Amino acid sequence: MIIITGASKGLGRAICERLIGRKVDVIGLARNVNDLPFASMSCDVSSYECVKAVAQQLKRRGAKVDGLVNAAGIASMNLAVITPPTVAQEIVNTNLLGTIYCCQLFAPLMLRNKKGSIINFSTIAVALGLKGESIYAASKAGVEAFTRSFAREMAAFNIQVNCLAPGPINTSLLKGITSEQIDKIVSQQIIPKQFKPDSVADLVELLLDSRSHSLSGQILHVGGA
Amino acid sequence: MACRLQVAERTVLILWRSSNPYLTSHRVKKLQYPETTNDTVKSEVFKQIALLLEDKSLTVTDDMPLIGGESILDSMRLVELCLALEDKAAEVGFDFDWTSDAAMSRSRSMFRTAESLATEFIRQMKANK
Repeated sequence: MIIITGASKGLGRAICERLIGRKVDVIGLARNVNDLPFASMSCDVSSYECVKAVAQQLKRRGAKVDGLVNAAGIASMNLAVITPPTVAQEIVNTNLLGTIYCCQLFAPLMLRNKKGSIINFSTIAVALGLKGESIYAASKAGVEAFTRSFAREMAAFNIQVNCLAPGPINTSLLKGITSEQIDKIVSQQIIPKQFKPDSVADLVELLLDSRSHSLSGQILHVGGA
Repeated sequence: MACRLQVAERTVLILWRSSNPYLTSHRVKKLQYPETTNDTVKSEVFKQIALLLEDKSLTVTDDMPLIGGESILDSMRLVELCLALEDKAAEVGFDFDWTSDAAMSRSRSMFRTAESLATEFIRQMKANK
């Protein structure tokens, strides 16, 4: 089974649908799972207790977890000096702490099998230091650092931990960003082209595949940076 | 004395049943004794630690450190110990929480010594009964 957070929309949803299409057993986590047409559980990843409750339920059910995709994330594009503290906390709590909590609490479900793949999500904003995304980029830079260290901690258990850092992908996360801004970011990628959720899903499939077992602790930039 | 030993042995059977699929939860329930001696549980926690020791000639003692520079377990084995205790706890119907705030504090950590780990395991077992 693959656990996917942020499953209700955006990249998380696209990854769920891709894997389900490949007959992979998926459980999607999201705050609101009411209308999801696949196996799902309600979970706010920014709440340690909430993630822990889901992990306990999966353990009691005897779920065999082979992978975790931490796609849950939020963004608020603003200059740091005009971002309210509650928004800054929300971004860090969901993007960074949410990823950490899910890794801490779901990794033990893979440790016993001595096999697994964890995929975290960062952003091109970290590599490019994008203006107006400083808090978002800071939260994701934390995810990258966590990925590198956590990968070393998990290596002895044959669990790979990697991080995908896409450029602007057309999802609801880009709401409020003008097409000119998107074009400007895309032009700074090594491959100056806006990629679609499918390209991210391709890389997720690659990282979940046992043939990528030699990769761990890596930050993979979709589009290149 | 003989009676005490017999109780201890049967308690071990209940608490630490092997992964024998024929030993169903129903049978475990039937065998269950109302009281579990702390010593029995402690000795089983020590047994789990001993199983992970690289140097099999070592004897697990109360003051044997599990974290820090003098720890007898490396970090990987410490995680394996946690998983083993989590499995054992599940067999007797409680969740062993090894991620509490106190888990890694040098002064308060349940992993300070073999004895402190056994004490915390017993505390959680009783709290969840």
